[in-house]
Amino acid sequence: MTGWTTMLRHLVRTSWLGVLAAPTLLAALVIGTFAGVKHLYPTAVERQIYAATLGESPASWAFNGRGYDLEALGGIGAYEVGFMGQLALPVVGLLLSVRTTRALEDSGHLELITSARVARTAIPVASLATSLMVWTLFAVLVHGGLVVLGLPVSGAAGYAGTMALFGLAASGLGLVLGQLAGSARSATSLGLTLVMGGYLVRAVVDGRKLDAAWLSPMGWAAEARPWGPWHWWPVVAHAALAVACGLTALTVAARRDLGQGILPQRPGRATGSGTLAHPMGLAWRITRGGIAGWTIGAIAWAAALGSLSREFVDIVAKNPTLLEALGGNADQLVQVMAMLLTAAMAMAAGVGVVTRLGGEEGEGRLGLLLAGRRSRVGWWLGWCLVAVAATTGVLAAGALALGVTQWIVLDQSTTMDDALRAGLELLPACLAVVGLAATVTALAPRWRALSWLPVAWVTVVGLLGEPLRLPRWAINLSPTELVGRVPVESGDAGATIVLSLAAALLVGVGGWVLARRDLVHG
Amino acid sequence: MVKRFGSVQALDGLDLEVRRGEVHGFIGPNGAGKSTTIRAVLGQVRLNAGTLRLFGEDPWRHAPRLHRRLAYVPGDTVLWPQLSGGECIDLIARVQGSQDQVRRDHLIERFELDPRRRASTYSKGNRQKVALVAALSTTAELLLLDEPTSGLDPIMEHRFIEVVREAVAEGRTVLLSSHIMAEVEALCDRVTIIRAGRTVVTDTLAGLRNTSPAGKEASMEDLFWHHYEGAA
Repeated sequence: MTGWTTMLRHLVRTSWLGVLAAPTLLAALVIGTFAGVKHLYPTAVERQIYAATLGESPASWAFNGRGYDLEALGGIGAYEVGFMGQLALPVVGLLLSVRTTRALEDSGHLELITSARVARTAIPVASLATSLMVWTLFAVLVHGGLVVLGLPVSGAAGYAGTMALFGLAASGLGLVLGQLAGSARSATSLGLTLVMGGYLVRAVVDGRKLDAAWLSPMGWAAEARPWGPWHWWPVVAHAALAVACGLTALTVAARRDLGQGILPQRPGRATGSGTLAHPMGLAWRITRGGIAGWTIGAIAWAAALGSLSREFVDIVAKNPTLLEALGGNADQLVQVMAMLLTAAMAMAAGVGVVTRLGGEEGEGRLGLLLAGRRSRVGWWLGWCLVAVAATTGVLAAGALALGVTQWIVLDQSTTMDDALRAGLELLPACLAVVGLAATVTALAPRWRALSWLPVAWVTVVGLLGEPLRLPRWAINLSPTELVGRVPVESGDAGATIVLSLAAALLVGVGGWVLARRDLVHG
Repeated sequence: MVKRFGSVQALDGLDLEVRRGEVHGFIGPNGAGKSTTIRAVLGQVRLNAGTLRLFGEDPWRHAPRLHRRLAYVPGDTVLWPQLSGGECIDLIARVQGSQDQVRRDHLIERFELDPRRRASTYSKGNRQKVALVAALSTTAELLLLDEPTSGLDPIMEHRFIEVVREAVAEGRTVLLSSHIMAEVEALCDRVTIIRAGRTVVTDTLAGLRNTSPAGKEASMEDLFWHHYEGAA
């Protein structure tokens, strides 16, 4: 482990912004949610109603995880953070680890660093130390924020600590995958698959109220029950997972060759397929992994919610006040929730495709392609068409999965019409976000990461709009809100037309700009 | 040709003429404007002033049509990490539009390249080989080579010289940007030396030797220093 402090200093110096920003943003999300809950459920009576309705709903359990001590503010807050927390924390932990280990290896930095007085094993140790700093900062911020909000000091400490340990365990997972996989790219996609799988296993276990919370690490944090009688095993389990991952990563790092993975890599094709040199063929080939991931995510998500419709309908039947508060039919309410996140995933698929073209330009590969016989506009249109197809495909797959599962569970064929109509009405909103990403990528490829902000905003508004008490104008920045709560309400026809035109216009503007400027590189 | 990037004057009145059927050496230090010139020839950057004609037409306006007649090798080839070497070759050559399959297989053998390996596992030299095989396996009339042999070992450097000679024997034209003097001396009919975005001298190797103090025995290295220093 010689030189791990040198490596740690290097990591802090090169990525201090992420080390500060990631835990601060995550803590802000958590504290904001608790602040919203405090505002929405100020009295014990309101909290008891919450506990008896949303706190009992299997769909909500599947979505957020188990709710404990829901008569206390802390319990509701933790429950509401559920979905976002279970996905955002591990994804940040995972990416942080891969970026501070394997990504540096792929880019050749570690070849230089380990040629100095830094051992190979110092790399994962320094990365783990960075993660410890990040999650400690997160815990301190969350604890401070919750205490300021007036929550009990010990409960807040328990909650902040458990969530930070959950994040640390995810960092550990990223560390191991970074050592095992052949590249940062495959480590990340493997890690995201595991996170998604862990979430789905927990969703099924909790949605069906099975007595198996231990089955997925995603369900552990809720079991610590920091707002009531404290349970120690989840804390120990998270810490043990983090330690086990750290030790495994160290062992592998000590034994493997730099630049090589443990998981086997298949040899590629000796010749290119016929469609590879077509803009759409190449765009598909390069982005198909991401598109497949979003498709599977959307289908899994929609099917999971769809299959819980029966329970949700039953709960609502018992609590007419809940239906009154939410409006619409019970099965359609499930669809609103299911389609909103499906739409966000469809946007993500399209944004991922168009922003990739900016990456191709920055790294000089677009320059190589543009030395060929196709025009810039040709490449642009081909690439955008694949993005549009990806968005449409993910949305359609999610809507179909939702319609079919609801049809089976509720024995009601109208669910299929509703789901498909909701998908169709959300499509212009999704395409507008993709169009915006296309324009940003064409105008300033170096700033293309900004294209993800609208996708993140749609997700935050959709999932946390109510508890965060966002002002109307901020909510309306999300294009899906302009369309309306489909299929409970029918989509706003004006918004549909405007968003469709905006999407087409934005793609056109992007192509026009790209055809007229200097290439960024190569 | 004049090109500015912000406050950086990349090309400052550079003159360059490449004649049909010749191998034209394009020599200058890093940052002199060689790659910018080639990117302008490809129609990827737009000149601030001056005229540029490729086969008699403006490459900024007619890039795709003109590109059917040329093949390009960048100095630092970046490949698609998830594709194999063979896929990268076919992609680049088919985008150019005149790939010859027999020639491709033959070149892969001559450059001793394993086409099934993932591009992410290739060294710098192997990535250059991919770009070279792709460009040379086409039937393009003009080869735009921008420091094509950086990272190649001496054996492959030798193969490269052989292959370019064969291409010239078929009547193809080559613009070879390089700072490897032996390569220029072995291949080029005429040479243009540039410095800070301006042309220092353009002449045949014999012509350069006539005006050099070292005379007929002068190596390309001597000639370069004589003219380059003379321009300072």
